[in-house]
Amino acid sequence: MGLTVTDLRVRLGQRTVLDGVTAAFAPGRVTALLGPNGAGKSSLLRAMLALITAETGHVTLDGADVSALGPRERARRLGYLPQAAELAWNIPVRAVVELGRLSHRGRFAAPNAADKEAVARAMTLTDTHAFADRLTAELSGGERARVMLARVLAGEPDWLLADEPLASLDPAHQLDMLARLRGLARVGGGVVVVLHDLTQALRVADDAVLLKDGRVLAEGNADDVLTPEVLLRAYGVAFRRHGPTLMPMPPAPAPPTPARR
Amino acid sequence: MKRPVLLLTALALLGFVLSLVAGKVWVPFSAWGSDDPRWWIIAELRLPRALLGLAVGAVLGLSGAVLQGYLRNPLADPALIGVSSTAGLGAVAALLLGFAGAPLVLFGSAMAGAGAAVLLLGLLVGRSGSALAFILAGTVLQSLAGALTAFLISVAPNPYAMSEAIGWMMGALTDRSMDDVARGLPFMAAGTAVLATTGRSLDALSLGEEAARSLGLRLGRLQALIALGVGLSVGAAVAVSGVVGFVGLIVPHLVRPLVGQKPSDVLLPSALGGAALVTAADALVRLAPGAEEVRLGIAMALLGTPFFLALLLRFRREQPWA
Repeated sequence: MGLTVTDLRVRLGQRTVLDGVTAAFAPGRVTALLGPNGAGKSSLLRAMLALITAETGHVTLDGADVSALGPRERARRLGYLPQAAELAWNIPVRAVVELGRLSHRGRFAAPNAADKEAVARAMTLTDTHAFADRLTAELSGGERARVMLARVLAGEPDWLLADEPLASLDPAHQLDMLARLRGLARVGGGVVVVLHDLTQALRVADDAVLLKDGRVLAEGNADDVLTPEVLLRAYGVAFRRHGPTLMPMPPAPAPPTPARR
Repeated sequence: MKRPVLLLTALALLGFVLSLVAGKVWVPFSAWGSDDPRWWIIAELRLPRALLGLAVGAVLGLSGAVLQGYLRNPLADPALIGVSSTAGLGAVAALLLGFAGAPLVLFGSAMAGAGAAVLLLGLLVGRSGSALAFILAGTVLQSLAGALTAFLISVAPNPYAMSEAIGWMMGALTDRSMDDVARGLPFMAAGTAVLATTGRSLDALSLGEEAARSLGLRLGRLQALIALGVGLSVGAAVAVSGVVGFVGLIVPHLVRPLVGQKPSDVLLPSALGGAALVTAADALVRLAPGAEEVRLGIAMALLGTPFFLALLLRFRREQPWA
């Protein structure tokens, strides 16, 4: 049960971005997708959403093949929060959140009571009611990130797949976003989140999947994955763990070249 | 209905009435009715022209709004996907082959050109649904059709056919009959019906292609609907009026300050605004001094340039670093 990835192999152009990835994600838990740049984190997320096609392998959701689900059915169950979510037009916040209901509505149907309730709930969860009628271009980065999260939550998906939701947020808003992700998992939703900041990963994640070069380097309980030994293999940098924080250590300085006369 | 929509409806009606009344001969309301000879100017000459003005303006405005929403680019216009050019090529071919007196052949040939564009777009883009591939394929079609049109005109059998073809390319609603209305309207209506279904998908696309797909949108299907809708409606518009540029580009910009930027909210107002703009412009071109009218396509281009200048200046004011 849950969301599972089995022997997934994905090529983009000439490059193999995922090379036999197998991982399992459990509902009610936050799973961090970690790894150096180019490890295939975003690709894994996109393949799980069937946004890119796998060469071999498959993704299943409660036993059903995700790529065989209809697009609307898939959209209702898997919510996707893309990285640096773009917005082409300057439209009011409420209209953005309402977009999250598209997979629940008919082509011409006006929003019904359930849609309106879901939108209101999503805006409550993200504290966005205060600026519901403002235009998105007038929002700060933190407010905008919450609106984008509200857009996904309005669809009431069972799963949230978020690609670097902390990028471009200040520390306070990062903590706020992490708390909201945790909150989703607490009420039974599955959360898969691509993170760069390992300390934040340690703070928020129950489980972690560490990717390197398109393969799974380590998987399991976040505390077990995020050890200096594993991280050295993944990032090529020594880490030191101080309680809840992980600090990358700069390589020892090269010995000074002896002065020549 | 929302207030801006009512306002734009009123403007379109005003344009329609203006188009009936204004011209070298003014026909005041007192002369409306069958016993005044001036009424025949309206019934025979101006009514078909005003109806076509409404329809052509509406489909150009709507197509422009749909394409701008789809490509998420405020500079998109119906010419961008090549349908206008290929329909123009079809019409020019018919004119040069001596079918200037056979409106049905002219119309059919232009529609065949538009149909070919839709099929080729489908073949060139495939099932990817990528907007970039769509624009590139449209640009290929546009350039090819433009080159072939120029070639055909350069080998025209006689100067008369050549001037006929060049004049037609400039776009006009002069001397159209109710037959033209009857031929063009069904296609324009069908295309409009197809395009009207795209609003919600265009809204989803404002989040970007991947987010829209994650909301259940089928991009390939949307693209096919847009190609078909623009092909039918703009193809028929070009087939009855020649190439009238700028309407599809300008009108969505004009209505956004009234109705906001949400793509689905821009569609109907753009259709109404296009209808108002083309009927009003077509009435104005008749008022130009001299025996000849200014061609509608030329008038729109002349109106379009200062509009773009204003857009540029506003853009610079809002984004001083640009």
